Amino acid sequence: MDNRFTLKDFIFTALLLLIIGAAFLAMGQFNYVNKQVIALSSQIKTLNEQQLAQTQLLQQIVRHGLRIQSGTGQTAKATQKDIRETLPDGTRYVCYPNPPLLPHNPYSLSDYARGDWLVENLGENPRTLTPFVARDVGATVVQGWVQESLLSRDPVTLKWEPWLARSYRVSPNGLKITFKIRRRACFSNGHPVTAQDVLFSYNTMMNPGVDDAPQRVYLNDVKSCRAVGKHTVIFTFKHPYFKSLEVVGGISVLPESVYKFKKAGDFNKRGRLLVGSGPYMFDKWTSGEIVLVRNPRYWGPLPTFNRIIYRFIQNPQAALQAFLGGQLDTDPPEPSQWVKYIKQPKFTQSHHCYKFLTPAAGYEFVCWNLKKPEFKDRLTRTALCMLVDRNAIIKTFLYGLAQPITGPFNPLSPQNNPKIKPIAYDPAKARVLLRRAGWKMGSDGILHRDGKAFKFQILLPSRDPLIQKICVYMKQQFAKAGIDMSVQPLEFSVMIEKIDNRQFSSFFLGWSGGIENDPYQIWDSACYADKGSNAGDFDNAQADKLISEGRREMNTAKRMAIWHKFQAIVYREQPYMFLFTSDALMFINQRFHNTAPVGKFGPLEANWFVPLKLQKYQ
Amino acid sequence: MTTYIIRRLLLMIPTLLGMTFMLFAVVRFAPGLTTGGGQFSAGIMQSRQAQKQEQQIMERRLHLVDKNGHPINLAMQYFLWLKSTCEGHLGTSIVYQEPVLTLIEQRLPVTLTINAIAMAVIYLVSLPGGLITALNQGRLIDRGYGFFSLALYSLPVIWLGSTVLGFFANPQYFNWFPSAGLHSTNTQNMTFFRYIADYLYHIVLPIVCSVYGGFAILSKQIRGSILENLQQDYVRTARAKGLPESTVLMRHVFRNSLLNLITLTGMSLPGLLGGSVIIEQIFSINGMGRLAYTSTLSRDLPVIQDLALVGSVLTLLSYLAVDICYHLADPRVIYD
Repeated sequence: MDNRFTLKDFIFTALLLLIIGAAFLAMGQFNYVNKQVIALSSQIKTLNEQQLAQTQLLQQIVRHGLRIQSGTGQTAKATQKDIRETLPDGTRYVCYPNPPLLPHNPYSLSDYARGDWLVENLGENPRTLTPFVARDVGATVVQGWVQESLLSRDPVTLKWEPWLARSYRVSPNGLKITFKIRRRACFSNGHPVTAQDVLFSYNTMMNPGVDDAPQRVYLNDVKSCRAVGKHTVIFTFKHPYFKSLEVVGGISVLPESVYKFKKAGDFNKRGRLLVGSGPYMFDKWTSGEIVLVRNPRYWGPLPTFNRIIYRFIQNPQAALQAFLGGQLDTDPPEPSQWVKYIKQPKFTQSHHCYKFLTPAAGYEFVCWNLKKPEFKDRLTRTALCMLVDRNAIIKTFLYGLAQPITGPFNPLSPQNNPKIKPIAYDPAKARVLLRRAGWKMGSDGILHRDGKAFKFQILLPSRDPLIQKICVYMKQQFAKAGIDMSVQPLEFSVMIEKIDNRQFSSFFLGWSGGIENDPYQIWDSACYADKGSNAGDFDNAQADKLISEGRREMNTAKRMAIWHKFQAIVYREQPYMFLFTSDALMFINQRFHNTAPVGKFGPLEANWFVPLKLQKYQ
Repeated sequence: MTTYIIRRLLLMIPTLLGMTFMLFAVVRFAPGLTTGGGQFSAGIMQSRQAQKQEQQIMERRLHLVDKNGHPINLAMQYFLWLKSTCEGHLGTSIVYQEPVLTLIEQRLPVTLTINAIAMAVIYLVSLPGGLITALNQGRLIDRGYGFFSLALYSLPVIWLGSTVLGFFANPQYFNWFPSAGLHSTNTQNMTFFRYIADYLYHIVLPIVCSVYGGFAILSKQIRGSILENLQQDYVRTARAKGLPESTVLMRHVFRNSLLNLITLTGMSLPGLLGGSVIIEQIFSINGMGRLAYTSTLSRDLPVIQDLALVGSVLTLLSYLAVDICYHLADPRVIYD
């Protein structure tokens, strides 16, 4: 038998490979065409639904007569006024006949046009989109377009305003909140938003099988939730709590008809099911992007963009290049990128560049373990703070893009006490304080007290190069004063375990922010035990008293006064070295208009639009 | 041969058990429990109650404690895991809340396509490269090729990846390629071939980064074995018979030299599915490498374990395949 591989064999093999390749390509093409057909049929379905909605509207007009609508979808009846009042018995009543429009809303601008897409970067691919269960920032951003809650926060006043709810009423003791739902609010599948849906959403959150433990904790104080009739929901609480309104008013309302489940496990696993009453509908989620399309049935003003697309680019360099190349419409640059590009006039003229601080931004700090002898006294802790030049840190490592803080509250939040000034960098005074605290310089160049040298270790997350740089700087500063700090970078989960088990002298971390924070979790002495968040064991009877008073105080002005007093105590005691809160940075493509930051929230995408001439996508 | 294969397959069982137990123990002894989704990415701590509840759920789900909350020992934990795996239930990811199989299903095609193309490119360059350098041993072309392929081999991919990204996908230098992802945003209006072209355009840089280090090893191997074969008696015989030099080279020497490649190719098969963590991270590709990386960082034990299980099975199978292929390619190789 001839065993050789001849030209004939070669041609035969090549032909075979060609046929196989062609078959694969054909299969791919069929598959692709099929997908397009499916997309088309879903578009036709949407169009049909839109037509149906229009027919219903026409029928309504025939039946009830015509109501003139302005371009914004707002009814132009001047008689219905917003009400915000406190009744004689102390009940707070807020009623907005129409959903509040955002400040700077674009609808009346002369070049306003609907259309175009908004392509943004989400960084990490979200792990799941299931409401309540999803925890990463990306998922929250996507859900924010699709699902809505009873109330929404005004970006300027920072107050909670009725949104899906038409009005809310808080009883004088703060134990009962009644919401009335807007009659025209409906989900993207056409079903109206009802009290039953709110009840369902609440029950889902409270279901122990649903994987939302971190969010459920906030609802522990809710005694009951009742649906009265189709449009009224009443929440009652066990104790008065200043965050009650926010906690229940902020629950995403899910359509029961879509999300109904028998086993809680089923709810957790439907990571690709996202339906709500918001201006956009979830369309698809591929390995490279999440696509949202406009909700044609939206009950509020029709949203501007045809599509919103989120891509997943983690590498900041790649993201910036994608932005420069037009593949992304926005990019939050790194501080180093910001300082580089902001200097180039060509760039700043052709892009919107914004730097802003939001009250929701978190802060960075060093926590001292007050159980350790070296940190037990206030003088030493204050001296340590004086040894570190926070302005220099901000200028050198953060390119000036951060603000020093004086306590656990964001400088823009009303909670912050503006009278408190940051502790100034003053090594000479720090030395005096250390001496007063009983530290004496030993022959080895290190401070000693009660026969013990001033040596300690700082834990920090190893993945954050910025924190490492800052720690090395602090080490040098402390060394000059005779304090020996060793730097120990750890993997995040290992570090948390050490903190939980209180096996640390000090650690460097950040807390995420909130507009009005409840200091209980971090600062109450009860939260040291049982791996609580008061890891450094801050134990101050006066602070505990103020915390519990503040939590019960429903009057905002009085409560802020309490928080200011509380902050003064924390400032005096210095249980943390409070460092800084970072500025938010944003580059936006020039074709978007009306992008200027609104109130205290920075640029709000809902306000942006692209004039007809500049639109890029269909 | 059949008995041999059966014996090898049976031997695989204890090997697999050993491998998976080692891995299981390493993963379980690593400090830190699964940190869930958001907490990890935001780098913040959670409230006490939430943390506690979360931990309880994790412990139960990972079979660390039984129904009554009593801790289970490691051997028993391993047994429980083995039992459910043998019953055909691969785990469910804690972080993604999806079965591991679904996760693999979503990511495997991405990694597989890129790696298959990369491997084809490597072979297409290295086979002729090895042949030419062997025939020109000691000449400028041999030294030059050796120098450049080794130089490329020694470039770290993390540096080259960032560099090509910074220069060839940057509007400030050469905006030739897209900087991230596998597709443009508006693929829905593309024709099928446009779609394929768009895909190929997007994977140029990742492919470049995957291939450049592979030339050196492969072509050196081929060069070496060609040189070795050229010294053999059968070559002298063939030349003495008066066969033309091209026939001697292509039909005898080159074919015999390819035997070595079976091992190399076989061993690279598991890597084909594994994907490169660094390349996928730099070019924002959602493949197997990134799945393994993020699961490790977030201590997503079921995913880590099952990925390792799949990897071990594939490695063992490809070794078996290598042995069988050897026998098929060279009937002189007999296993008893």
